[in-house]
Amino acid sequence: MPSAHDWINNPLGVVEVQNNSNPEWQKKVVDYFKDKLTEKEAQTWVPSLNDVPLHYLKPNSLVKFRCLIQDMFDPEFYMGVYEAVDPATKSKSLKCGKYKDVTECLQVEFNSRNSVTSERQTFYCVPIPGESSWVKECYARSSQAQVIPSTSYTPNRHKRSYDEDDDMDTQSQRPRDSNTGSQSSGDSQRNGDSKRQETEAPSNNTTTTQSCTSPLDLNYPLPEEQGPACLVKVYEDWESFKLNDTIEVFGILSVDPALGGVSEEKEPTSLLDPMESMETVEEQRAHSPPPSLVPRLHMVYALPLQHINPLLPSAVSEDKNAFVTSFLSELGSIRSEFLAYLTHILLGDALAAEYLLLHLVSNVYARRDVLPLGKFTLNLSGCALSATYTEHLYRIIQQLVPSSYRLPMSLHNMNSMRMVPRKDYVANRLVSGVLQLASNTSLFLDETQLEQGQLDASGVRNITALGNLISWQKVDYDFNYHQMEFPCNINVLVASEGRSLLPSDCQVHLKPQLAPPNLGEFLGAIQAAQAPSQMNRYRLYLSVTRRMDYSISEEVTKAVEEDFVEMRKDDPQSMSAEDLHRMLVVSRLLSLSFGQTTLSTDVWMKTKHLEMLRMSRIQQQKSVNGHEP
Amino acid sequence: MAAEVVDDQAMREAQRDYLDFLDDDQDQGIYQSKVRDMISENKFRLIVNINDLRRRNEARAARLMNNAFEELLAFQRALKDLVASVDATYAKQHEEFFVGLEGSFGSKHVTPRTLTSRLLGSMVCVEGILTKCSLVRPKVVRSVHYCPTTKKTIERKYTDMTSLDAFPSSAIYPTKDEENNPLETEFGLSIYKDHQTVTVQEMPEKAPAGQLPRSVDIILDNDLVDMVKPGDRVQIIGTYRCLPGKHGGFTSGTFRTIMIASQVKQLSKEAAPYFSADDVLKIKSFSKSRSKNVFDQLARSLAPSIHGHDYIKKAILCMLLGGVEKVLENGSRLRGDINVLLIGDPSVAKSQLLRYVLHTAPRAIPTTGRGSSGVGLTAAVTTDQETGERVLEAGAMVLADRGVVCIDEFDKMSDMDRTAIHEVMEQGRVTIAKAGIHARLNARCSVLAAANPVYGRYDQYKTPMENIGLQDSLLSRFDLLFIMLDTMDAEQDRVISEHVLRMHRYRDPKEQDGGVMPFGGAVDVLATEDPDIAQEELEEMQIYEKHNNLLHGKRRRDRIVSKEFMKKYIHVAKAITPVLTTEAASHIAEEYSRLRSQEQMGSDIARTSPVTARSLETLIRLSTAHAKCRMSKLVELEDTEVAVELVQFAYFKKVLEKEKKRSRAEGHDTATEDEEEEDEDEEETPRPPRKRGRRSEERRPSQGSEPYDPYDFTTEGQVPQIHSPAPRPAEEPMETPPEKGQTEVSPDRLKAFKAALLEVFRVTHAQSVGMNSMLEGIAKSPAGPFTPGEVRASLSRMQDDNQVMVTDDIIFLI
Repeated sequence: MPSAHDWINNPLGVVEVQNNSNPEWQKKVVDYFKDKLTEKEAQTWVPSLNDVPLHYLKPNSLVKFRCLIQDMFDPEFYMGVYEAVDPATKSKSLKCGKYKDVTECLQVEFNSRNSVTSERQTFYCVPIPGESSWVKECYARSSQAQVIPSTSYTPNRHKRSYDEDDDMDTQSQRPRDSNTGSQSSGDSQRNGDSKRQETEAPSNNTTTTQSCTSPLDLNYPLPEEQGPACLVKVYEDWESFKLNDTIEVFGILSVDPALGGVSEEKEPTSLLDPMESMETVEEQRAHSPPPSLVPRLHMVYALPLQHINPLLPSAVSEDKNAFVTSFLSELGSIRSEFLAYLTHILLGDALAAEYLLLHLVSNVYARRDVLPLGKFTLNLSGCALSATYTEHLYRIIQQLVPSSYRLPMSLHNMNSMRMVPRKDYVANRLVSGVLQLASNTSLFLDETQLEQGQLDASGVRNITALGNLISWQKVDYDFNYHQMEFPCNINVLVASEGRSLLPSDCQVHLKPQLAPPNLGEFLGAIQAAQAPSQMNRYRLYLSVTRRMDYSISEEVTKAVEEDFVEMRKDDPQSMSAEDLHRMLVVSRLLSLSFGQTTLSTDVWMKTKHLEMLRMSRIQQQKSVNGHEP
Repeated sequence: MAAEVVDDQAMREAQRDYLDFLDDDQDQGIYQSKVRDMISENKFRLIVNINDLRRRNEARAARLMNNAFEELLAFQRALKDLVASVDATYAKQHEEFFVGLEGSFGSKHVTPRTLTSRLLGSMVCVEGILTKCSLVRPKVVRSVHYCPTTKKTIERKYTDMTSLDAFPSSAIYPTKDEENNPLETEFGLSIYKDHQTVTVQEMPEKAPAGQLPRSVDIILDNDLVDMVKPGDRVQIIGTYRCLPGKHGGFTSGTFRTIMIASQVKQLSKEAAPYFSADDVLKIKSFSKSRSKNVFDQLARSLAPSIHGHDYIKKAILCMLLGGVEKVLENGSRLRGDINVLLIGDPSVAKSQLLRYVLHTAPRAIPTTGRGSSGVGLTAAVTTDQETGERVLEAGAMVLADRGVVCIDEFDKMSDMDRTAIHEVMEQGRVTIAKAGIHARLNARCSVLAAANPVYGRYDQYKTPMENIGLQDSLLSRFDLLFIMLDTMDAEQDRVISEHVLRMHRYRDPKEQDGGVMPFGGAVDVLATEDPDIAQEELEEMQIYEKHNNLLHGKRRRDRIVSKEFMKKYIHVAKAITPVLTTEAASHIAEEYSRLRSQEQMGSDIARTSPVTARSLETLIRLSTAHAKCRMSKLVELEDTEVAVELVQFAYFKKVLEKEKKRSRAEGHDTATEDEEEEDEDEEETPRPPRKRGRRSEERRPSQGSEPYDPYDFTTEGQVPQIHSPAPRPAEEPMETPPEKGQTEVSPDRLKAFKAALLEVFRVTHAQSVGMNSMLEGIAKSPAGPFTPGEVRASLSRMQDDNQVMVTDDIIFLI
């Protein structure tokens, strides 16, 4: 029987054992890992590709990866069971090809009647775009994985690792003794190790040369993204996964250098090779990149992630409900503290802070026909206080939400950036764009960066795409011959000087009460004043309130209805169905922000009050600028 | 060895079976003649319908489907034998003859997504969009080499994994013979074949929501190359097989799968939804159901998330159904597409309506007036950056040929586009004469446009024309123009608020947080059969959305038709081409003249768009669309009534008078649009005070039950069809004597009544007669006394036909 940690270090051994003992082994293997992983804390033992550099990880060991499905390749057929021929003894034996990339022997009997062809699906996965550093740190800290750096590890490799400072921390935390828990793994593992040592050097060379000549485009949605991309091979119900899903994959790592598609020693291709014309070089590069850069992961279990906030207990733990209820009790105080914090950041503007809070809580919870419900795009106008204010603002938001991205809407960016993902038929892959983001990502559009000038065709397309994203929460992916709509759930915050050129659900004009001489220092000081534990409370607050359920009772519905009719009577111009729609969204978010799951008349009155304040401020602003309404 | 002998025998047997099948002289001789045709046309591919084979030899057909390689090889050999027997020299000219299949493939009719490993080695039919084409390359089939030293020629044949022969030949191209003498290749004698690889991708509408479309690589050989180009929707029939993947020195354990095509078919651009027998039945019964008004119900179900705007929804439904296109002998075309323009205040759900149409119409292209790129709405000639070639690039309207183009922010369109759109909207084509390219592209699309008023908000005190700010020539091309205003009315507001609140309160019980509802992903019924049977049952088409009190309100009557059903219904209904009945035609003519005369009405009602001869066509188109909706082959009176109602609503809009006159406005200033509409009815025609509702009630029961004289009104019946621009005076029906009047729907009694009435008029020598004296008069008539009910009915009937007019119990003869 495999020992406690064996299933992490040598999962293939486990597979083998199950395979031999039971005819229904496929299901048993999946169940086995599922059982193991749902054990308390078991998930934290598994090393994560997100925070451990690839060269620290043992090939063929179980690893986890928190990622976004960026692309889905065509299904692939592999030899589920095949007959191997030992060249020395000519003896034949049946081998299992599941969870492996490469056959284990040199000769394979192709025409054997015993071989079984099976199907698997490959997903190209990237780390969650725009994931905040605090999320990464927090996950890394909670990891209890014992990672043994391979013996060939040399410090100069460090250049390649993706987050350097973090690296040092994790390394120091990890126990160095390489013998614990891996005693029983036996021969196979040592073989793996030695093999790895042999293959390490050349593969490393190729990547370095490649990175200096033509860096392989790893197809991250966001330009400055880093981290490992991964080819995840899925064996069971791949239909349940969708593009842009965030998942945590538990799988067997495979980094066999032979997988690198663009082989150096291209053998003299025969005249009649049917494959030759089928696969372009670009396609090969995209579909079989060097494994040292893009490792393969054979999925044994995947956990769809509802959120990526590490502070919230994971879905499997049973004390989640207890946690939430205890948290709800202190929700009120957190809210007021949080509001005060936001007010400081918005230079004393309490109204804008209130709306910013609502925006941060918003979430598309349903769709009716084409209309997404629950989205709350905020346009914060009057942000051009100083050149760097928006940047500071973004940094603060970044500290609060699990994933975010700031898009400076400069003319150059708008004209040159690729926002909408596009299918590249030559390489047969989906070329990512900035708008390929995970659910609940905060997108910070900085319109103060926009200068006068000419938008070209792609600029117009980009603006249209942003507009569609805001209005319908959908992105039309470009498939050249047609477009395909992919729904998304992205919180868009537009910071602008005047009214934004993009549509928005709600516009608030910033009215600073304070005018600190040095804005940067001032904001820095506010941020420094918040203890990390306090920040964590804010983060938790946002994640919890966003996920709460909400309803409107019959009585309140009636009251709201009456109210609307009344308001229309007084002033039909400023109250349309759309206004009602927005007010209902505001009241929903307001209720949730107080931790209430139903709409109360109090909140409704407060909503009306807020909206009134906001409208009057917009009116003021208009008259100041001399625009007629 | 033994196995091979068996194989050989089986092969020969198969070959004999196929030869039997092809050599069908005794039967009907279909394939015999097909083979002869093939020879005379100098082709070498025979298309065989698998259904024919199935009928003749079921076991063989099943084997052909499942074990495609060997069977197809046998089939082709059989074909060659047959060709040799018919024309021996022709058989020698060609190395191989091919068999292409068509017919029903059942479970083997797949999309790239459902092409699973189960189907390896079988004959499959794959549908999708062609996304990638390689160049056409020659591939050597047989090479001939000459050795100068030994004076010998060597011949060599090549086969690889893509050919039907099971074993690939050695792939080495000989350059030396056994004694190492150099060889010269005789290129002239060697045989090559064309070879191309293409990639077919799943059609976007068939990919499940949230999944990327899949693709499959396909090899096209010989005569199949270059038959399709990227972007085409194709159906490719061929064998599915896998090739072992060998990378360098190791075996990856994975396979590459390809399809080897034996027949390529282009599909029409139109993506036809799949209909099951059950669907058709449901559609039929829905259209027949007398209990409800099909048209109203469908219109109501359009964009259920938008409240109200009933007329606009009706118009959009008409637009989706379309009229009937006519191409006249002189080549000019009368469009059948219905164009709709929505003008209105910001925030009245215009864009949302557009968005909805995008999802319901089978082919809809969204664009905006200002956002469209250099190509614009119509077409543009651009220069390819790499080659410098001139390329014709199609704009939104060309792409939407036979569909709907949704133009948002129509008012922000550039002048260039605006002029270009003129031709497209009426003629349905784009003519380009630029940069040496002369082209005429079809752009037969309906236009649904949304625009904001000139002043940002609709100014009640200005005429609609001033508010719209588009030139007449463009406006007249829109069949219907709606002004969507943000009006105020407590009752209306209540309904709106109820509607919005319902939407916010509703949550789908099955839906998870932030989950996305499947949208627009038509289920391919062919595809659902094996992966999830349970799901298929769920997906069985529902006519109605599941009623949910929270979502749809409490009124059971307002059942919402599901979008899936709506799509299918429209698809079916669209195919009908109803013809105008004379009755409907005369009604249209009459209403048209009324519209024209209404122009002079002045007062406080103004037209939104000019009433031109195009309006006449509009009436015809709208009535046709309504008839389609009823699935009727005839355009009847009830259709024209709806059309007239729509036009009436869309063409006129009240203008508020300036303050000083306002006191005299008889309290109309706060009227909502619906009320106005009724006001119009009353004001527009003071002479015959008739109520539309009453009239239709009277007429409907007598629909089609009475014979009518088809010769009587032939001229009138044809007038609208040949599009006479001359306005027709409303009084025309008077010229025909009342005795011969429009008796088509009235009983014989009406005829008798008319005769009696005429007699009364003749006796009194007057143009008008009091009700009482009339009653006395007709009582003396030979037809006997008329009951008061009969009299009333007959009078109103005649009144509708503009033969008499009744006011204050006085009957006027017109």
